[in-house]
Amino acid sequence: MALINLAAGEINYKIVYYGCALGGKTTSIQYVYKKITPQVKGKLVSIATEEERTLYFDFLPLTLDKVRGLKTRFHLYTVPGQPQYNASRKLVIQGIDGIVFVADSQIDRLDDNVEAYLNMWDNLADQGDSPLDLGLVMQYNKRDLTGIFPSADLNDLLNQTDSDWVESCALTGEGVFEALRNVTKQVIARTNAAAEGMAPDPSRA
Amino acid sequence: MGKNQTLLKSQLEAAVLLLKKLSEELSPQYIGLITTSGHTLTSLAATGFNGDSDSLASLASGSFAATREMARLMDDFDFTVMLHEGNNVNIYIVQVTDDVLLVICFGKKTHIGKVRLLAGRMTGALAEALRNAPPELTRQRLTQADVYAEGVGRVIDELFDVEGEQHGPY
Repeated sequence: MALINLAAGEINYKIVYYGCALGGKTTSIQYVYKKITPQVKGKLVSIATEEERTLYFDFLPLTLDKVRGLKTRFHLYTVPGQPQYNASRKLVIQGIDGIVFVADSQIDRLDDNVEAYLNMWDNLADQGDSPLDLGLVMQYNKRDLTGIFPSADLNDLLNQTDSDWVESCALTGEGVFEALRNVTKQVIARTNAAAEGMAPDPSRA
Repeated sequence: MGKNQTLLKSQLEAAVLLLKKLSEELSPQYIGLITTSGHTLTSLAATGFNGDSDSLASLASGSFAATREMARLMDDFDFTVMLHEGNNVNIYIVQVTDDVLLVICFGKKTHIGKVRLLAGRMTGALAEALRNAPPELTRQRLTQADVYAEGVGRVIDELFDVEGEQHGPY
């Protein structure tokens, strides 16, 4: 859920990069950190194993300029991709507003992608959420490799919510910002819709 | 959850007054209210505190959530307090409401028992200050949400411009 801190003049959103192990979640967030304007970004925090595999999460805060007196803040997280860390994934998605689902486009990773996608639904359901109620973009990664699915096929197989999708190569950065832009706009639109839903009923005026 | 959480100025002012009172008693290096999602509601830091409050909030909420889950694995469903003892600094975290945590970082000169006692006494008042605002108050302040969304959309377009991305020859 977005945290609207009217006193501090801030709206805070939580965006989580979800997906199978070694799919490109951490690489995506690292690319954002490397390329984005320095004034916007905070520290990139990673809780990783000695082999640099995500153990708990990566975290990157972004703070945008004020609009209508409100500062917009996006907190980007990754979940650990390895299935044995599912308990950690559940903790990271608490209070989530949007998801970038990073799928590995390689044909031999299909089972891992499907497992991660279903796991995302399960974990959200456990906390009373659904991908249908969140901002969601599918990021089909590793498009630079051979032995990959055509994106349309991968989309047919994975994208059960008919969400927007983006091709990417997180190593070079292609598609990374496009996916981020897409999901951030979705979560803001949802806050907007929620605010409109709070507007007084004219029939009661 | 799917619902937005709104904090009004009056709520925050009341919470800050309480934090200041606690801060006078404990002289902490950092004291802050954060959400269980890792967002900072408000914080006070002593002069010379070099910690990054965003990272601190993210890690504190993650640490608290992880420890609470460990407690649940051992059938303890009422876990509300956590203490990390370091060489130079201790970190005390206590749950204020379902969604809000109080984080206090303090040095060795402050007795842990005092922190535990005073913070424990303060949580009720903080919870009262942060009690959900009436919908009519929040809706008044969100009437221009569409204008905000349009403006932020433009900022996002400029900031996340794909111009800087490299395109590979696939």
